[in-house]
This record gives sequence, structure tokens and C-alpha cells, in this order.
Amino acid sequence: MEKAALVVNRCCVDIRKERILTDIDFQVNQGEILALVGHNGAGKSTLIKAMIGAREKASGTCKIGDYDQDKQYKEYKRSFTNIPEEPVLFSELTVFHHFKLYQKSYNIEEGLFNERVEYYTGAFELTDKMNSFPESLSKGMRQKVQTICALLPDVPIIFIDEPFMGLDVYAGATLEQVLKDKRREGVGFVLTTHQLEKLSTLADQYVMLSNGKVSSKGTVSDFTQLDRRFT
Amino acid sequence: MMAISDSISVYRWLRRKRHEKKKTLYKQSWQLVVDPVVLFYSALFVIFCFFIGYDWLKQLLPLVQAREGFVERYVLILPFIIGFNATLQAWTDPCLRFTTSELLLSLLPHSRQSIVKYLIIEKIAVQSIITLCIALFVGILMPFTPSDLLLWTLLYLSSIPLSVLVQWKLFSQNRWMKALAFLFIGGLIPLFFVGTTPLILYSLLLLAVLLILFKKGEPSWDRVAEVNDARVWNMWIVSQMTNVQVKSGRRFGATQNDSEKDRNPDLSVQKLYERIWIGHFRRSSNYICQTIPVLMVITAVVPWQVNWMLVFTLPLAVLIYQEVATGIFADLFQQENAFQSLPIDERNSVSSYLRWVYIGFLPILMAFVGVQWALGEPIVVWVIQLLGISLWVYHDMKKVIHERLKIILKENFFRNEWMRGLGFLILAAGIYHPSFMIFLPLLLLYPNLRARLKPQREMKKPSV
Repeated sequence: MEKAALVVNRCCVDIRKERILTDIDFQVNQGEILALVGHNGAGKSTLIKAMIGAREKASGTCKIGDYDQDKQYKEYKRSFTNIPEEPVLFSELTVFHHFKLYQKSYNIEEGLFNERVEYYTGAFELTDKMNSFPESLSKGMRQKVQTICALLPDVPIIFIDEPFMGLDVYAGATLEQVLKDKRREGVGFVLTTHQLEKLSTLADQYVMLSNGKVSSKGTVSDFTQLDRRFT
Repeated sequence: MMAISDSISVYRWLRRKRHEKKKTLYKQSWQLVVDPVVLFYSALFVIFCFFIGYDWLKQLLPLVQAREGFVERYVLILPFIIGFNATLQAWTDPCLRFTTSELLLSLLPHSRQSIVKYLIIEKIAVQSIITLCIALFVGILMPFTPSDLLLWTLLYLSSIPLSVLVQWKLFSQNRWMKALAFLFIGGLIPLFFVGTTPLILYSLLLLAVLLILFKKGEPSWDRVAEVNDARVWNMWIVSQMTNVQVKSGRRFGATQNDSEKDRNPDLSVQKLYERIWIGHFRRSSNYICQTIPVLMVITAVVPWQVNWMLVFTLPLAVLIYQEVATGIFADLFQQENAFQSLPIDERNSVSSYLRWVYIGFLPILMAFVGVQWALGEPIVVWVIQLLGISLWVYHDMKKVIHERLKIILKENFFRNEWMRGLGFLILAAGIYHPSFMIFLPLLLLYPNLRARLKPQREMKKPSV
């Protein structure tokens, strides 16, 4: 039996006393890519925020491995990385400083860190931008920096909100390859996407959200079409 | 390219629309915060101020009359002061309100130069009218002779175009150029006072102005527009009134991002956190710049009038400082940034933050020393009190920051509120009489002593 990397159980989220997500249930196994799909405003980004702990849940649980988000928050936080839709970099740190911060935060061994930085900056064509500050980078480049930061540590789960947004075709192809490589290593992914053609090539499972609820889920081969907001 | 008159008319239409929008924005902000009671008391306060002003004016008039000869002697210094002010302002303000709207307009077939020329003429005209009005007002109220007043007004009016152009040109220059202009024109003022011939000084001033104006290089349009956007829309006032923090891409003036920052790749995690904190302090500068002076006033000014109030004001200032400091600390981890998902390095994040918090407390300690010195307290007394306050702030600040981090990390902990309350009581008592300060180290040592004694007691139990 495949081991679960992430288990979301009856997760509910309220924003200003209004229920935005209701009883979300799903599981991501090791080495599996799960795509969260849904119309605009379905609750995909809110769900990602709830799973990373940036938004409080009203009820339910999220577990990565044995770590419960509410009971072992520190360990839970060390068990995932996140690539948000909009890059969130510190304007005071250079590109390399960001990598360094991630190295220290996830205790990445020095040799491995240098090897990975060299590999990813080469793959994403950022080798000449190591000493640049985020202000001087384009949005696509900042997205690449954010992506590399998330790929540096060894974690069981990586959350990605719109992974190909803002990346050029070469960087998109590199990321796709990296995701596949990481999947082979047993890393689980939760990604949101509007690019449905990527679903069949990349994802194993899908969860479709509609108005804050799971409207369908299963293997990608079962996916037929996206629910509309008003049906 | 459009004719200049067409460009100007389009520009004036654009600005009218902006004024309408601003009016709506201010109206909404006003409706959000207006309190009729506060308004009533403010009106009363203004009326009182008028009476006080009138009274002061009556006392001031004979003084001005007696000093007219002095004022006459130094009238020629005015252009230097205006020029110096322009070099000072040029660090943060481009003088002409060329915003993103003007920039976008200049991308259409409207000449950017004609818009800038129009802005320069308008600025000079408005400033000249204001100067004439003030001169008229001063002429009516003050006992200056018309010839003196005319000389002052003419000198001021002739300095306005130079100051506008210098400030506009200098704003887009690098910091070295700005510093050089600032020092050079500023240096002419003391030379005037030591009796250097005004003709030489005026020639030097003119030379400096010409060098600045004829320096090659385009204005930094993006930066000018960015700074002006924040100024024209008065984002600071709107965010103060509505309590909504308006995000700005960059900070301006003293808080602007430094592009020449250290890019050393071998920074320790402690240094990385320090940099993040400095950026966070820049973004929270509003709170910091308000809190520290207010706490200095609470600490120094109130006890200066009524000395026993220090017993209350100092612990209160310490408490407020700690609460604001913990609030700013927590803000970093609650805002939308990388820490939403990035694990926090507890030791380094706290130690790098505490260093700045302790530095920030120094002005309050200085205010305390200042007031004790002014009140004539013996040195021994305020040195003991100073040690007590420093000890308490050092320990309690560390404790509350760690506690706040535990809340952020959703960890359970025991908050010893009674001990903290007792600490503040001892602090107040120590201000009343320094001998009470001895209880502070005892209080801080108490948990350790208790922890040492506890296992011994538990070991004794079985024998009983």
C-alpha cells in the first residue's frame, strides 16, 4: 500500500464568518502529483493557504506524514515547501541570500546545497543573477527564484499555486522535468492549475473544487471537464 | 506631436479629473474617521490658539521693532537659505508634481518637455503669489518699513525659480552630487556670518546653481513619478486616517531601499535575519517614529512638570514599548511573505530582533536620565534606577518576544502573568526609592532557584 504524504481530513475554512471551504477530504501519496482544479473563486488558493498554515482552519485536520498541523506545527512546517502564485521575496536579500536562508531553515547540508544551487540556477538560467536583489528582477525571474528556493530542501510535500504562471516556455519545461524527477524520488505535490492540458501530462490525481466543496476527485484519466461557477 | 496649447489643455483636464478623484477619496476617508465630538473640541482648540496667538503677537511686535536693524543687516542671506533648503529637499522631493499620469500622458503624442515647462511655470507662479500674500499679511501685522519688506519680497521672489530648478535637477542626481551641492551651498551660510563679501558669495552661489542646471543627464522619470504618486495622493494621510496600510513598492527619502547594499554571499543566518528586520523596520517606520518620541515625552516631559509622576510614567513607557516591539515582531510572521511557509529559525530570529529592540530603547533611557538630571536627583540614585530598568527590560523583553514566537508557532507555554505584574510593581517602587530595585534581580532569579529546589523536595518525599 502506498504511504500517504499528505492527508487533508474534513477541512473547513471561514473568512469573515462566511464558510469558504466545506469538508475538504483528500490524500496525496508519496511520489504522486495531485492537481487542484476548479473555476475562479472555487477556493483552490484558500485551500493551499490553509494547508501551509497561512490561513486558520475552522475545523478539520491536515497531516504531513505523522505531523499534525495543529499539534506539531513546527515539524509540519519543516515538512513542506511552497511556491505561491505571486513570488514573495525579501527586498533586503539577494537571490543567493534567499537560497542561503532556505538552506539554514531546512538544515540542508553545505555540499548538497551548493550542488543543488548550481544545478537549478543553471537549469533556470539564473547563474548571472545570484547577487541581484529582487527589485532588479523581472516577475518571471522572481518566480524562478521562488521555485528554486522550494526545490532546494528534501521535503515530502511541495505545494505549488499555478506553477507555470509567469515562466517562459524553457523554464516551464525545466520545471515540468524537475517535478517528474522529484516525483520519482517519492516527493508528493499539490498544485493548482487552470492549464487543463497539463493535467493529463503531469498529474496522477485530481480534486475538483466547486464553490468551496469537492465536486469530484479521482485519477486524472477519470477527469472529464471543469465545473462552471453557475450550473 | 501635438501643439503645446493642446497638450496643456489635455493635461489640465487630466488634473481636474485627478482632483475629483482625490476629493472623493478624502471624503470617504473623512466619513470613516470623523467624530463630531472631536471636531467640536478641535474647533474650540483652534479658537483658543487664535487668542493665544494674538497675545503672543502683541508681545512680539515691540521685539521685532527693536530688532529691525538686525533683520535689515541679514536680508542678503535669504537666497543662500532658500538654495540650501532646495539642496536638502532634493534628497526626497523632486519639487515638480510629475506623476505616473503625467508620464503616461507624455507617452501619447504630448511633449514631456512642455508638460515639465508648464509645471515649472505654474509652480513659480503659485509660490510667487503665496509669497506676495504673506508679504502683504506681514506688512499689515508687523512694524517693518515698506522698503525692507519690498527688499525681502524681491529677494525671495527672485530665488524661487532657482530653487525650483535646482531641486528638480538635483533630485535625479546621485547621492554624491547631492551631498556636494548640499555642503557647498550650505557652507556659504557660515561664510556670510563671518563677514565674507556678499558679492563673492553670490558669485559662488550662481556658479553652483549653473553647474547643477547644466549638468547633463535626464531626470529619473520612474523615480520622480513614483515619489510624486505617493505625495500627490497623500497616501500617508489617507493611510493614517483610514488605518489601512497602503502598500508602496518602495519607500522614499530616508527609508528608501539602498541599491548599493552589501551583496556579500557569505552572510550568516543571523545577518540574514538582521537584514530582514531592517526591511521590516522600514515598513513599520510609522509606528516606530511615533512610539519612541511619544514614550520619551511620557518619560521626560510629564515628570518634569510633576516629578512623582515618574513612578507611573516610566513603567508605563516600558510596558508600551514592549507591547509595540512584540507587535512589530509578530507582524513579520503574520504578513504575506516567505515566512508563511518558511520554517522560522527561532534562535536567530529572536536574537537579531532583540539587538535592535534594545538599541531602540536607548532614547527612552536617555530621556529618563535627562529628566532625573533636570530634577536634580543624585547620580547614585539614577544610576541604580538605570541599572534596574535595563535589567528588567533586558529580561522581560526577551521573555515576551519568546512567548510571542511560541504563539506564532502554535506552541503551548505557561505565561507567568503575576510575575510580570510584580516586576512592573517593583520597577515603579524602584523609581520611588532606588533601594527597591534590589528585588528585581531576586525576582528574576526566583524561577531558577525554584527549579533547583523542586527536585530536592521531590527526592525527600519517599523518605517521608
